[in-house]
Amino acid sequence: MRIHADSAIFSVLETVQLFQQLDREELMDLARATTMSELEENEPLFQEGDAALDVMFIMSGSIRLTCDIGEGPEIVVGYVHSGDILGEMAVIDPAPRSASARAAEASVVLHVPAEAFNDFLAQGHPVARTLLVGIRQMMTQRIRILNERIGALFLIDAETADVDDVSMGQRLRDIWSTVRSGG
Amino acid sequence: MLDYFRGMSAAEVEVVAGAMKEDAWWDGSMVVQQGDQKGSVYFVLEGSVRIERRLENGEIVTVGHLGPGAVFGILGVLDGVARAASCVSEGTSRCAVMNRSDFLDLMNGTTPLALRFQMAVLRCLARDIRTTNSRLAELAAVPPYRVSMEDIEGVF
Repeated sequence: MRIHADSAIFSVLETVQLFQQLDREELMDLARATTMSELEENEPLFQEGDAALDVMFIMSGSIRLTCDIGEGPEIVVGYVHSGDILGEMAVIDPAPRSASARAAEASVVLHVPAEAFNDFLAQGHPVARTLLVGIRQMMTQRIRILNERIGALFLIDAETADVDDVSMGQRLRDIWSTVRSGG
Repeated sequence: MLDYFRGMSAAEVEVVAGAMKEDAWWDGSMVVQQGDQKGSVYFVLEGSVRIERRLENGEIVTVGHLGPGAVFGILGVLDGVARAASCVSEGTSRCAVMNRSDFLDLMNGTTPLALRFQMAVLRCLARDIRTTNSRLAELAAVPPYRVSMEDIEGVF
């Protein structure tokens, strides 16, 4: 269910750590520019290949990311949780969504349209700065995890030639899920 | 390099450039060292640097090369965590260097320039994620991993 009521969104935004630095009026500007989805378990959020028109903040619950590989069931490539940001590439370097997303449990998601984000940016609005800080933290965290994991891959390469196909496939999926969350 | 700064006026690019100093490295000299905690951000102007990672078992592996237009060192400056890899000059290289405090001042200001600079930083991070992604795809394709085609299609 999509929520458009500014006051309902406002009351949720008030509780978010990232937005604590915004004053009431700035927070209201953000509430007016955004919508919120209340998802039931298994309800789709977006599909692989969809145009990336918004960046999402997970307010509560968790989202499962999957990919369709053509045959067999979809592969789960990762989860994002309450407090995480999803699909931030929509405002950094837009490309179609690289995975599908469904609610793994009952979840609430804030949608910031790329257009609204760009307006805040053009105005030099404090909301733009706050959103950028959140996105930056999410991206640096992902790169750190990626770096650690790529190091682990090299270490496996160096230590053993006897790598089990299944576990390596899973390892790569783990790594890849940190990449895909942004798209 | 200019691509990162798209959306900035010539005057704003001047401000960013004004916070940089040019420096040069001989072949084999270390521009940044893995484990270092204080640091700067480097924009490669000429030549190239090799990214090396020292593994837990002491072995050193090359994880990439950066040429003109590339930026490195952002992550260490942003979160102050130790450098994840070393960068070694290949041949003579020249970089524009911005120190940590100038970088953070530019990014954390409340001016329109600060917002655009912040966007430029995020584009660099996005590029890092993509580069790492394709590097992982290459890694997955080499024999020791013996990953099946289904795995590769599923993963990448």
